[in-house]
Amino acid sequence: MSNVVEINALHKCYGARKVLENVSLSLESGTIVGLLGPNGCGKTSMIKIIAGIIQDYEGQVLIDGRVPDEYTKSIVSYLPEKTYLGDNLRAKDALNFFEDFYSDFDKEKAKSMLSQFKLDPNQKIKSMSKGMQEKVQLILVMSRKAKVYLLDEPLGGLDPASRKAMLDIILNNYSEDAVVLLSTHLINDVERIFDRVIMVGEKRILVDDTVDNIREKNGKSVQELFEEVFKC
Amino acid sequence: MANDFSSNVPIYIQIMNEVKLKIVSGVWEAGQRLQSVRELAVEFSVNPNTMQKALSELEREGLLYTERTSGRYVSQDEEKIKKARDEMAEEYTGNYYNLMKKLGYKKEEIIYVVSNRLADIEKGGLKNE
Amino acid sequence: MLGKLFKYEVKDTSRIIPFFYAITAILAGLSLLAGKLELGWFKVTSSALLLLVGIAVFIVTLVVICMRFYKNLYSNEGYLSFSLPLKPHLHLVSKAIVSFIWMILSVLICLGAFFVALYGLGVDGKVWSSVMDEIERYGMGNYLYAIIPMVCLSILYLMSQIYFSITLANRPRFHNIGAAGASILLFLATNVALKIVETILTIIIPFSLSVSLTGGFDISLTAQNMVGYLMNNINNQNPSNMVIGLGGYTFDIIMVCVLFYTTGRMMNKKVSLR
Repeated sequence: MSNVVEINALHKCYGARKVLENVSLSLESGTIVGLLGPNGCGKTSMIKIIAGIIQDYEGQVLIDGRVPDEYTKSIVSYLPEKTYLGDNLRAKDALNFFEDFYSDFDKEKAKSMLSQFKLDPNQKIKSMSKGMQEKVQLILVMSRKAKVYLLDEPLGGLDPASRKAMLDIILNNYSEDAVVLLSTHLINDVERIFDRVIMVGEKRILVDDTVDNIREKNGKSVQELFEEVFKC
Repeated sequence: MANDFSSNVPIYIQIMNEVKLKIVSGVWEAGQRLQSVRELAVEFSVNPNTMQKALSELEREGLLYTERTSGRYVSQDEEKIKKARDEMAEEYTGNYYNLMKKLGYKKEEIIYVVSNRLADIEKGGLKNE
Repeated sequence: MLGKLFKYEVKDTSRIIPFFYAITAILAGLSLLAGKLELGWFKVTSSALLLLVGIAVFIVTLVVICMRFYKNLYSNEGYLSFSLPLKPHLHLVSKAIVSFIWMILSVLICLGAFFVALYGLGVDGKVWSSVMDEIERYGMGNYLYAIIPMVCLSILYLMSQIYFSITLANRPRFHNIGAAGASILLFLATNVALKIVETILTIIIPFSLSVSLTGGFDISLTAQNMVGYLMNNINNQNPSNMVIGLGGYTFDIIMVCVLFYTTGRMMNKKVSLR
C-alpha cells in the first residue's frame, strides 16, 4: 500500500482567479477515495492536473514518483465528465483505439462488459443515450489496468439502476495496486464504496479522513458532514 | 441500499449487521463457504476494505471462520448462531420499545398491541411483510 | 505512437476530402467526354463547373483541416487526445504532415481541374507549348521550378498561422470570446501583423533579386534593398533594374518554424480545455 499519488503545496490559478491554494494530499493504492466539493472550486482542476491535462500549476505533483508526463498518462486512466469520444466512432472503434494507444487495455474484458450491459459494439456513439455513452466510457476507462483511476462525476444524469451498474463496475475492478479517485455530488448513494473522502472548498482541503472516522468522530454521515461544511 | 437511519454508525458495523442477518436467518447456511471479499463487496455495494473489516470482526465474534487454504466459512456452531439471532431480536425489540414509548404507550399496552397485530397478520395473510 | 496518430489522422480526414476529389474526377471525365462529343453548351457548362469544383476542393480541404484541428484537440475530444500517453506536440506533428499532404494533393487536383476545364474551352497542348516558348525566350524557364517551393512555403505558412491561432485561442484568457471568434480574430491579427513585418523587411533588408529591364531578363542576387528602386518609381524615373526584396521570404521561412515551435510548446505546457 504505497502512496501512488503525492501532492504538495499545489497552487492553481486561472488568470487572477485562484482555485487551489497550498493543497497537499496523498493517495494510497488499494483504496477508493471520494473527492467532494462544490463545482468550480478546484476539484476538477485537481483531477485534470493529476491526469496530466493541465500542465500549468505550481507545486509538486507526483504520480508513482514521476511528474505528470506521457509516462504517467500511461498509468492513469481518466474519465472526464464529458463525452470525449468522436462522433462518428462506433463502440468497437473506441475499443480498437484504446487498444492501439494503451498497452494496459484489456479488450476482451471491455467486450464482455459491453455485452453484459447489452451495449451493441456496432452502434455509433452519437446515437446512444447519454446513459449508454457514459457506460461505454466507464467501461473503456476501467478496462485498463492502470494505477490511478480518475472518475469525474461518473454517475451524473443516470437513473438509479444505471448508477448501481456503474458502481458494480468500479467495485469489480478494484485492485490493491490501484487507487480510484471518484468525484461526485451523489454522496448518499456512494458513501459506502469509499475508504476515504476528501472535501475541497474555499481553495483548500477542508476534510480528509476515512468514512468510518467521520461517522465515529462527528456522529454524522458523510452527506451530513458535507452539508454542514458547505452550508450556504 | 444506502438508507441508514444511523448516520453516526460506521459503515463496517452496518455491513456486519447485514451479514449477520443473512447468517442468523439461514440465507447463508451454517458451514457454507463464502464468496471472495471482492465478490461480496460488489454484492453489498461496499468498499472491499470495509467488507474485509466487517468479515474480520465477525470472525472475531465467532460467526465466521477462515480455513487458510480454502477460504472463509459460516460458523458450524449452531449455538453461536442462535445466540446471535437472539441478540438481534433483543435489539430489534429494544428499538421497537423505544419507538412505542415515544408514542406514549406503556408496557402493558405495548404487549396488547403486539398480540393483536400478530393475530391480524396471521389471519389476513402477510399484509405487513 | 506517431505512426498511430498518422493512421487515425488519415482515417478521420478521409471522409470528406476524397469525396470531393471523386466529384472533381467525375466532372473532369464529363468535361473530356463533352469535348469528344462536341456538345458546345455542355463543354462550357462542365468546364465552368469543373473550375468551381476545383476551387471548392481547395476550400473544403482548408476547412476540413481547420475543423479537424480544433475538434480533435480543443473540443470535448481534446480530453481524449491529451490523455493519450504521448507528448502533446506529436499531435501537431501528425496533423501538420497529414494536412500538408492533403493540401498539396488538393492543389494538384485543383490545377488538374483547371487544365481540363481550359482544355474543354479549347486551350489545348499547342497553347501551352507556345506559352512555354515565350517563357523560355525570356530566360525564365528555370525559375518556374521556383514556384514549387514557393507554393509549399505558402501552404506551410498558412497552416502554421492557422494552428497557432487556434491553439492560442484556447488559452484561458480567451475563453470568454468563444472558440470560433477568438480563433478567427487571432488569425487575422497574426496574419496582418506578420504581413506588415514581412513587407517592411522585404523593403529594407539589403538582400534582393535584381532584374534587368533592358535587353534580356538578367536576374542576379544583390545586396541592395528595395528603397532605392521604390524611390525611383515614386519620382517617376524609370529605373533600369527591378529590385525584388527577398528579406520577406526569409522572414516567412523563419516564422513558419517559429510558429510551429511556439504552437508545440503551447500544446505541451499551456493547454486548458473547457
